[in-house]
Amino acid sequence: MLLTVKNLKKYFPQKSGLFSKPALPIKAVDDCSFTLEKNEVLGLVGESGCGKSTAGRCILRLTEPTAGSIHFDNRDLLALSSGELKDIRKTMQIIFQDPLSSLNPRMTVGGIIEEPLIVHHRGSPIERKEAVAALLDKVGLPQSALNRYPHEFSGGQCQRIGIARALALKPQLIIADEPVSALDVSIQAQIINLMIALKEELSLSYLFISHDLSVVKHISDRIAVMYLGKIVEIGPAQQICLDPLHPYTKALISVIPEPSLHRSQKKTILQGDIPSPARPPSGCAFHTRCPVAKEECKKREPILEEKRSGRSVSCLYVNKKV
Amino acid sequence: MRKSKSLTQKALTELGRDKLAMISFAIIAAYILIALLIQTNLLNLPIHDTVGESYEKPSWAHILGTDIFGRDVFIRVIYGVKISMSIGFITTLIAVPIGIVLGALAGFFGGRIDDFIVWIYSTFSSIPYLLLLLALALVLGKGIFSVYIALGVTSWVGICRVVRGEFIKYRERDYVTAAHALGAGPLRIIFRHILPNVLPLIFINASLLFVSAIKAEVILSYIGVGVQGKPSWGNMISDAKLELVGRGVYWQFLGATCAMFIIVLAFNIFSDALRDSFDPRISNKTKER
Amino acid sequence: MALLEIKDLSIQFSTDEGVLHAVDNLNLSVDQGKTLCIVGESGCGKSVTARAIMGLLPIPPAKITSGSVVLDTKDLLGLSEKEMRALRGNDIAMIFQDPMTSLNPVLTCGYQIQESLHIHDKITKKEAKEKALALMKQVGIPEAEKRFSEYPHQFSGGMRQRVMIAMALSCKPKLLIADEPTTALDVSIQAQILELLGTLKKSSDMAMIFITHDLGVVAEIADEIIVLYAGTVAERGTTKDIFNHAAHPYTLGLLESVPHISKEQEHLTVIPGTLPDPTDYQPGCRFYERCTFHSDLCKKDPVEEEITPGHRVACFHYRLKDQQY
Repeated sequence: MLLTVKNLKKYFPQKSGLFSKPALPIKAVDDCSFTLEKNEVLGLVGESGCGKSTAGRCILRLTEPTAGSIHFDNRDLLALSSGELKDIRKTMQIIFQDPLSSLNPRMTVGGIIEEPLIVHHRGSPIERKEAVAALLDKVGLPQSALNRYPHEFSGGQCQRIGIARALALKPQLIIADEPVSALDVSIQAQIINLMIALKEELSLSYLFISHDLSVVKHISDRIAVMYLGKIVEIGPAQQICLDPLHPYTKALISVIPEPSLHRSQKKTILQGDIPSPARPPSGCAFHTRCPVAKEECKKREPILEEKRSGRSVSCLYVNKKV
Repeated sequence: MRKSKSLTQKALTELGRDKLAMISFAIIAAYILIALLIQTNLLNLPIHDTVGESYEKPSWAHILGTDIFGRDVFIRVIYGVKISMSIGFITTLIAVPIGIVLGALAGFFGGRIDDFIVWIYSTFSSIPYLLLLLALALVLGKGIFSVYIALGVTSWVGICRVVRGEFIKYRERDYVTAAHALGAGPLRIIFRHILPNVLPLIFINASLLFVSAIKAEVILSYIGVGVQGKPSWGNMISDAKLELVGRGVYWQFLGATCAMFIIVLAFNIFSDALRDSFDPRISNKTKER
Repeated sequence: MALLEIKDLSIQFSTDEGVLHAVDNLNLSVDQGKTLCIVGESGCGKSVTARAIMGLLPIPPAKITSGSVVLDTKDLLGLSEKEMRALRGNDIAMIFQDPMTSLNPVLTCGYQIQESLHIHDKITKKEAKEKALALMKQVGIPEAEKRFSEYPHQFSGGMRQRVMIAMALSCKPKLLIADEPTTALDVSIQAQILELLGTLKKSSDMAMIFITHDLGVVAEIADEIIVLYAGTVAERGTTKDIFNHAAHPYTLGLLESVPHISKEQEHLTVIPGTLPDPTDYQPGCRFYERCTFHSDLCKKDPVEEEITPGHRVACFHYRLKDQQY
């Protein structure tokens, strides 16, 4: 197992006013557990505010988790010293949603891709230049990009630069935080295909975070669906998309607009808004919007348990058939 | 293929196209040149020499006439350039580094360091600089040195606030997060990733600081705690107040005020142009979304 | 007769890098009660077209070099700013992608709806408030009375978009322009808004121009579709024409490159390359460099050819589409 996340929690304290009651913390990630194997892609899906990005950042220790444990390559990430942390960061990298804002506008593309090598004192300047040239090739950018600046490139090309930077240290795990959401449709497919090809070639593992279930399904081996800081369903990608068990996953899949006129499924449009993660509803957090909620759901909190082989669902009314 | 340009080069090209800004820049450069020539004694001005009668009207010999002791006002106005520029320069030189360092520390690290630095600058900015100057004048004696110190140690607060705000903004940027994820240390992130992006704003604020130091000198000299024994614009305006009302001697007043007005205006126009050319929102306004 | 008719519209922007051709010789028409979707990627000119209809283009740097925009026999391009202002909100209304920046944060949402009623209709304050409340209920804002006096930041993204829609509907416009209205929203909220727009469409004979990059959304809402590429029309037709009988290589590529949730796809087909530089278009087909079919024929400007009634495609090679792509 490359990555094991257990009972991960991240609460953001909120500032309270001088005279008001102390504000409740925002439970961005609330008791999440999942694993990721070598050369596997785990898709983390959910709507805004469900905590998927925070979970990714906790794994990289870009934010400090409130509780839980994260093991990477059999090492406890939360027990590392800052020196060890710098060392382990070589093996985990991140790709961002907004390709342009993830690149320093005042550095050349060559400088951006070379930086990780400088930070970790890899090779002589000449060797580094060669490495950068090879990385440009790998992500499909021309060598002429080297001395140019990010603002001269399109969104898709900037994303390629971001990927080249992430690959520079030859990581094992890449956390991709909505890597194609800001791109044009025809460019999305290019980046997805590039990421799949790189995964095969360099035997990478991805934690692929996105709100777009169709993209996630395409690239992932397994999918975890999050709602209000909790994982509601996790299992193999095809099974989740073709036969969702949790009512939330079912509804989500039914309303994904598809570019075709032959829809078989009936739409289940969820009513109401996503509740605030500072005040999640009692019992099952989804009961306020769930089309099949019963009285029991308001009182008892479901736990994520295996209901089919390899598939875990957190719903009181999904029967166990293992 | 078009030639590749960095953001700074782009901004400077745009600035170069702004005629008004370039004229302002030329004026500023001329003032600096005069100040340097006087400072290095390449231009030796007879500021204390009596060249004519008391209160001679402006003429071709003395373009701005003479003062009460028959000294050439024009020469004294020119000498005032050196005083003003040196005050502007040294004040900026003291205030900007303090402001950058404290602002960067506060904005980047946040938490207790931030609280402490905010506390310091709140305290400093609550001291009126006139009061501090009077106190310093008592300790260090009146004169240009006290003016440097007083203006320097009170005017870093503005820069510090700006730098702190920008650092707070930039530390959340994705490329800063990316640098963290690469294992880059705080020094590298501050100097390589954040500071270069804040620098244009620091330049703009420094140039505004320069102007306000020049103006502050005039006020200080006017109330008599500023530059002593040398013809600064503040001293000249102060001298002229009685002459103007009593005798209608306008030239000393006019000379000093104009000299100050021109440089202040030039600096303001230049800072605004600088801001416009470096602000991505304004420079990209012609781009289609 | 068509409600809105655009003929030969060309829009340019002057930029530091040269003249940017945002839209070139665009023709389109919308009938009463119909929804026209303009689909395309960033820079294809879809938002610029919308803004040109609304008279909201920044002139300069923008410049309309040719064409006419006729709404109900009135040429909008010839109108003064004052006449245009009277038209906006009354005859045409627009909703935007980001409802947060289109709402004034210091005014209550209720007030803003009420105000848009006030501007165009001479009615009393009380009537306006009643009407505003009715509109809020119509667009599905729960507890309208309570939410009337709340500020935009107290609303969620979906609710803000509902407020925007209520404002747009306040004067019963003949034409509603929706510029990527669901792009910033979550999938489950997007479904709500699309459902709302669908009901509104059915209950009135308002025409709608819906601008989006998302083909999935198009499939749900459109009657007719225009596919734009680099400022020119690649293909146009009914929803059925485009989704079942797409003919332009670009349309085909777009449809193939999107992952489907209910379909097994080994590999996504990719349109290679990037969009051409809008300040430096070469003569001929603008899709030339990315097209697998291109030949010397394509160095001439393609003209729209009718395949079946209403279904037009601007490509010399559309007949080849049944061969391997």
